[in-house]
Parts: sequence; structure tokens; C-alpha cells
Amino acid sequence: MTDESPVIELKNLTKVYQNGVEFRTLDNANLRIKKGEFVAIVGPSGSGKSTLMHLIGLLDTPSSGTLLIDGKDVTKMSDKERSGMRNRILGFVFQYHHLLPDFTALENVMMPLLIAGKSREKAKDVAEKLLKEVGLEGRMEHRPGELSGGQNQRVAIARALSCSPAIVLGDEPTGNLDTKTGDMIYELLRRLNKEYNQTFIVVTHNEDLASKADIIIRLVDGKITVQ
Amino acid sequence: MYELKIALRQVFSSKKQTLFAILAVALAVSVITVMMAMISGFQDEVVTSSIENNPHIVINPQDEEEESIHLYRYKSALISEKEGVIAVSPKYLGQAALEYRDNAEGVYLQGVDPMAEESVMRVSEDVVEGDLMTLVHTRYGILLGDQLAENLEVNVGDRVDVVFPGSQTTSFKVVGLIHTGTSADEVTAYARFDSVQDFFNEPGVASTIEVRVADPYQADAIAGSIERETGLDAVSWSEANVEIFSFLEAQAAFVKIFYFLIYGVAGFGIANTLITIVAQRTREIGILKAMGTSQKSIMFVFLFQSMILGAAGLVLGTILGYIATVALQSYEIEIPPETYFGLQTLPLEVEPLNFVYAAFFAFIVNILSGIYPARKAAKLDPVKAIER
Repeated sequence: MTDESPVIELKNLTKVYQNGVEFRTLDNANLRIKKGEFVAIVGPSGSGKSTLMHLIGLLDTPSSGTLLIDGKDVTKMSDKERSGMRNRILGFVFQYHHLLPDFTALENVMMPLLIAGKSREKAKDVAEKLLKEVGLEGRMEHRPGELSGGQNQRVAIARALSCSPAIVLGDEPTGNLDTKTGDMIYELLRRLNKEYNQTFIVVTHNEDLASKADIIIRLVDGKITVQ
Repeated sequence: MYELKIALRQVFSSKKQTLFAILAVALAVSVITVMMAMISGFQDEVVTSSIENNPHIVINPQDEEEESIHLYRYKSALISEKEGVIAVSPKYLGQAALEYRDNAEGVYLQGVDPMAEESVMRVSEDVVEGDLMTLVHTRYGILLGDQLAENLEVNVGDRVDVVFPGSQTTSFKVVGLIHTGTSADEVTAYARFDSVQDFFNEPGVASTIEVRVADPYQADAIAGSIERETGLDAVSWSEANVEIFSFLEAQAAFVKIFYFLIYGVAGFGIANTLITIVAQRTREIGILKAMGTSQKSIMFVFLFQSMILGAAGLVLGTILGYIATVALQSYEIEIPPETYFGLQTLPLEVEPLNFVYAAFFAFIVNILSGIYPARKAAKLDPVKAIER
């Protein structure tokens, strides 16, 4: 199921915050993640999990080191190139659903496709298919305010998948849900991962959930250990 | 154009903010259009009254020492042959005293050919009693400014004595009254050209020749050509009223400062609304960035919002401005007489181009005020924006 070329490669990746005192949130991280892998990142809070996510998600820039995504060095890219990568190659699921409140579930899922420049019809087809996939065929015209936490999170997952990204990033995607719903969402992610052979990287506090991943990355004080 | 779609959705989801921002622009645009209507109405009125109440060209003897124009008949004929000239009226002007019973007033006596003077100055329009043409067959007839007549306590039909040192006191019959609404009504008197010439013992000369032209805006050029051909001094209406026109120009400059300030206030209103929207939507901006929206597109989202607010505001503003102008026009606000050149009501002019200007500048101001908030939104750090 996995081929050998890494889809993500970190070489001595370091992120330093200068906030009066120097603080290394990520310290010389080296890591290779292959296509189709389901990776869980665990570690105590402040260990650098989110920083790692944001760097891989191209939302933040490293202080030093190299980050290759799909074989391309993304650390030297312009805003336009990075936005383009975020749009086409990356999909995000956050702890809170972070849907656009003024748009319906369908429109939210269509949005990344519209940003990519796809036609409305095409975007609508894809979004409808994905919303069916996550079990929300009856809720497409509802706005986030009219949906439950679990439903919104499923819309967010559909949105993350809309541009068929190579990599899906989840920052505590089940952290804000009750255990039963959380398990359900997690199972959904795992199923989609197997179905579409996309790489999933999920930050979690939950050791039970982490144990179901292909690879577990532990972060302690900005240093990586892989299991 | 998903940027526009997002902009529209966001603008209309915060209704109160949107409403107030639109009202701020609308108010600015309507105030400015009303002011523009007042200014251009006023300027038009001043120009019109300058053209109507003054001869388009006044011809005087060239030399300062020479007091009168000789051979005025020949010269008048020469001038009336010129292209663009429609009427010529040679006059004899002099100051004298008018006496009626125990009252005496100084007057500015104008000796005119009634027909010629009528064609140049349209005096009849100001005649409120009697008739200018009576002079044609009344050698010693006189028309007085109504204020002058009141001061002398004379009525049409009475006889007044015209007195001047070295001249023989002559009795004239009052044949009409004139009301122009200006201070001239206190001193003006019209009589026949030949009678006035005789009275001042100056037969065969004129003190001035007044000219009416077809196009008042050609008066300067025609005056120049008259000067070259006759060697006389010719002054056009715009040259004669140069003070009024420089006053109008100064006024226009002041008013531009007002426009600038009003637009400035409206611009800050828009900027403030957008800054608030950006602050409220920070997390959404972060999410949009995570989904791959570039900085440029984020800028467009907010520039579109300022354009939407601005467009709605200027449409509403021009409508309100138009209604207000028309309402003020029909209300005919009275202004104190003799404040401004004999204007009696506040003149307002609905000039379509003014609305275009007001709207155009409002739109520019809107875009300018949108730039700062839009840039701020574009530069937001997505990580901080999402975690907020």
C-alpha cells in the first residue's frame, strides 16, 4: 500500500521563538513519512506537536533546516506558491471545526475547490459526493450553527478532503468531541485513509487512538522519537 | 471569483455595521452634492446676473484726459457691423442733482437712445411703472430708480428739476420707475440722449458706448478687436467683474477643503468598519489561508467589502442628495436682500456632472480606506489567526 519515496521529509528542522528568551519548540527534527501512512503525533502540551503540524501544513516557517513536501523544498517558497500547495496538497482538520459561519455545509466543502479555480458545478459535484461519504447527505444546506459538534467535524473532514490532498493534517480532530463521537470521527479518518491512500498526520492526546496508527511519533521538548 | 462571494456574504451577515458604514458614505455624498448644487447655482446666478445686468462690453474714451467719445455715431456704426455684435448703445452719462419740492438727491443721469438702450440692456424688464419707450416721444421725460423716487417722494407724472452747476436747470417729467433690486435703484435716472447732451452742453459727444454680443463668452475677444479697430478702450463684462470672479474662485477653493474633510470623515468611517470586520473575522481569515487563499485574494475579499459598502453608500447618497437638492429648490429659501449681488432666494442648480464627481470621489475614498484593513488582513499570521 505504501511506496518508498517519502511524501514528507524533515531535515534538521528547527523552530525557535525569540520571546525575550530563546525557546526551541522544535529541535533538529528529522523524519520521513511515506505515502498512505497514518501517523499519530503524541506528546505533552508544549512539546512542539502543534508547531510541527503548522510547519508541515505550511502555516508557519522554520528557523532553520529543510522541509520537503512531495520532493519540493517548501521553505524557500513565496506566499503564492505556499498558498497553492496548501490548497492542492494539504487538507486541514482542526480541533474546532473552523467552518465559515456564513456558508452552508455544502458551500464550506466547495470553498477549497473554488479557491483552486474549479467551476461551481464541478465543486458542487465533488462536495456532494464527499458529504455523502461522511454521512451528511441530509444536512448539506445547513449552516455550521445549525449542526452538532460531530456533524460539523465531519463537514470539516469533507472540506479537508475536497481537493484530494496528498496529505491530511488533523490537529486534535477529536479533542473537542465526546468519546463516542470522537471514536466515530477517528474511524472515519482511518477508513478514508485506507480508501484513498492519502497520508494522514494526526495530533492527539488520546493514547488509545494513537495506538491504532501506523506510526506513532513522540515529541518531548521539541525532540522526536519514532515508534 | 470566490473572493467576491465571500465579501458579499460577510458584508451582509453583519447588518448593523454594514448599515452604519453605508449611511456614513451616503451622508457624505448627499451633503457634498447639496453643497455642489448650492455653489454651482450661486456661480451660475452671479454669472447670469453679471451678463444680464451689465453691458457685455463697455467702450470708453481711450485717453484718461479725454472725457468723451467724438464721432460716436460713426464709431457705433462701425462696431455694430462687427461679427457677434447684436446691439450698440451710445450714452451720455453725468452726475447731477434732482430736486422735487424740498427734497434733493444726487443722481447718476444716463442719457440714452431708448431703442438702442433697450436692445443692449433690456431695461424694460426692470421697469415697474410707466414705459421706457415713452422717452421716444417725450423730449424731457425721465425714468427713476424706485428707491430714488421714494426718497424724493415723487410719483409718475410729477415733474422734477435737474440741477447742475453751469447748466441751465431743466424740468423733466417722471415717466416711469425702475426696480433692479440693487443699490443702483437709489441713484439711477434715465433720460433721452439728446436732452442730457444738451443739459450738460456737450452736443455731439458720448461718454460711453455699450455693446451687447450674441455669445457673452466671446465678449473678451470682441472687446479686443474693437480696441484694435477704433482705438477706444473696450472692457468686457468678465473683465469688469474680475473681483467677483476671483471671489468665486476663492470660495470654490475653500469649499474644496470642506469636501476633502467630509470625504476624510467618511473614509475613516469605512476604514473603521473594515478594521472591526477584520478583527471579528480573524479566525476565518486564518482558515481561508489554511485552505490555500493567497494574501492577494484575502486583500481582494476586504477591498471588495469596502467597494460594496462604498457603492451602496454612494448610490443611496446621490439619491438622498438629489431629493434634498430638489426639495431645497422648491422651498426657495430666502436670503437677506443685498447680501449677494441682488440674489433673493438661494439658487440651487441640479448639475448631473456634480453627482458623477461626488460619487466618483466617494468611490476612490472607499477604495483608499479599504487598503489598510485589507493589507492587515492579508498579513495576518495564519497560526495566530486560527488559534485565536
